[in-house]
Amino acid sequence: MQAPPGELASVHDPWVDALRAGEPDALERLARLEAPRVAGLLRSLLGPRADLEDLVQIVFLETCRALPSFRGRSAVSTFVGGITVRVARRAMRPSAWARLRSDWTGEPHGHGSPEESAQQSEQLRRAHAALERLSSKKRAAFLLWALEGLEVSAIAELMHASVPATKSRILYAQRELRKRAERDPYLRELVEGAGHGRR
Amino acid sequence: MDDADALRARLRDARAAESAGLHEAAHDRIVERVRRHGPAQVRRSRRRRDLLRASAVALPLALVGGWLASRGADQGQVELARSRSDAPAPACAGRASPHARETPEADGSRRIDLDEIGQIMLTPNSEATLSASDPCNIRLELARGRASVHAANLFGGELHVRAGAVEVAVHGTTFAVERLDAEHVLVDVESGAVSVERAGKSAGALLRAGERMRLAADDAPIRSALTVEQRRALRDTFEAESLPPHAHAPAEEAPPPVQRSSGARAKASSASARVSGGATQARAQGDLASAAERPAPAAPALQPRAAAPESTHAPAPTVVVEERGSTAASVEARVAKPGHAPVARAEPGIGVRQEPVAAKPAPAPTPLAPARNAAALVARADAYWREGALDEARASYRAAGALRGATAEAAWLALARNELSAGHVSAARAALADHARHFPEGKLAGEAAGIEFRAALQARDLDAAERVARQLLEDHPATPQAAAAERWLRSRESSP
Repeated sequence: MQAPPGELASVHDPWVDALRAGEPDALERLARLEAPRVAGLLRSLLGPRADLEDLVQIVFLETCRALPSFRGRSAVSTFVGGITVRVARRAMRPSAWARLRSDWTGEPHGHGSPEESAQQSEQLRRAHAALERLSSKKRAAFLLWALEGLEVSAIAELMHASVPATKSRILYAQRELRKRAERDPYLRELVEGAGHGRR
Repeated sequence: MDDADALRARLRDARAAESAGLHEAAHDRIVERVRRHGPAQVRRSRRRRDLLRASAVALPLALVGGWLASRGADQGQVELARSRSDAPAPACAGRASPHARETPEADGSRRIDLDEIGQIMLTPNSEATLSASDPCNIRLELARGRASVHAANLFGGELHVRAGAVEVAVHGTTFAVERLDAEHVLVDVESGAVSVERAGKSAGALLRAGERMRLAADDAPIRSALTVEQRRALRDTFEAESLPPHAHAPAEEAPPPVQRSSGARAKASSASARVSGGATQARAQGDLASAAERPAPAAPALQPRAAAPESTHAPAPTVVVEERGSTAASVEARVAKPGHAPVARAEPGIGVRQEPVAAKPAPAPTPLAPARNAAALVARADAYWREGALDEARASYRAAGALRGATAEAAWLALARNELSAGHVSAARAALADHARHFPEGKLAGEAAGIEFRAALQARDLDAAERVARQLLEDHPATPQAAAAERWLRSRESSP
């Protein structure tokens, strides 16, 4: 039986049992299914980083370590997502060496014109920079809501937090971003729309 | 759409313009690593989790157990303290310190009367310090010579006689210490408890009633159980030789020996015994120096105290302690059961001699099971000797000596010692001759030479004693017997 990401996996699912037992085939299947989503979550939470592959691998390493305690009360994808958020939050406070290694040197890969892609990439970089002053909890909740499009309840489940607390964190992050946008023309265009672009 | 949703939409558009996720190659690398290293991580995590679970169960149990144990210990301490506080004080606590009176005797010895507690006899060459300020803890420090102590009634207190590193504390116990040879000591406990301490050994051992311990100089002690016959023989030793309380004379006044005591045995020079219990008999023997031939001692430094009133407590034991040198090896002590005749005493210069005992017909030997080895034969011989069946005892000793091994060799020496203690010098020499014939290369040759030296002295054959002493010095210079013989030779040469 193949359980797609996000679906609830039963406690008695043979795949879950195989995951708990550490069978190589089950783990390989988990990695094939979850790796793109894990990478996307990390990219949303951390922005463009050069060590994305390393972080994805850390997520699966920690997933393997946590599998014996997985009780099957949530979907496997939620279980992996929670670990991803935890790894991302840890990576939000990198050491100087890690920051140096994770400096983004790649080119934007937008679908529009090169100028638009570059502008959007710069806007997103400045949005991440604006959110860096926030705590990792507010920042992760906001990015999961804004970039991943997750519902508040799903974010609360991933972050092991209550829904009101998650809502509060998202609102606080919005307010901080708008405050920073008043002084940043690139960010103001992103926050207020195309009509309020650079001057 | 409100502002929040608009912001959300614009951010998602901006993210869509960003770079894609992982490259295909990176994705494959991650999958391959998970397949290769994931199972080991899962197994390791499971082991750690099981360990934590076990700890989570065991740790609270251990804490609870420790708490209960400490609580129990506290309660025990409280109960112990309560019991101590509730325990009635011994009668000695309410008594005045005994008034020690020193009286010189005609032969130069000195008698110290301790009122109803007892008497102490000091030989002419003795140096001792008596501390009787505490009626519950009377201490005699014997620096030199020999002290014969008759503790008639301790009123629940203690009487300690300390000679060098050896201390004998009298409370009440029936036990025997036997020096098998130069290095081996046998301790039997019939009742009470005995703490056996060896000089130079940090840990002592507690022997309880019915236990036997065999100690060697370097080997670990061997603990075993006394047989019913051995316990009975040890108990009968005192009962058979009993006299009415206060009827027996101090050890110094005793005539020459008649028969060797079976309950008391020589105590090894490197061992000490502390006694606790009822009636006690013990004797510790060290070197073979002649105390009688030493220079005249200084007067004992006595500390007399006040007189003591009467008491209704049971009489306490008699102790005979002799200091024969500056080392712990030169101590000879004997404690007899209260109200019983002294059963053995130290002979000045030469180890052990007999004290007079009441004339008593030798009982019929107790039928014993057939012995199959040297140790059993020696044990049976000891039992026969204690019961006065000397012929049967000699036969058993000889049967054991005809066998092979260290115990067989020791059987001849045990026979020789017993004969010598009984005053049978020729029989002792015959046993030594048999020992030399059966064990010409025996390991106990030094001990045998020491017995031969004692036999010569006991026979007043001083020329033979000197010859044996010099041979002992030449053949076995490192033995305690040789040291004793050397001292005897020096004193003989210095005498006019």
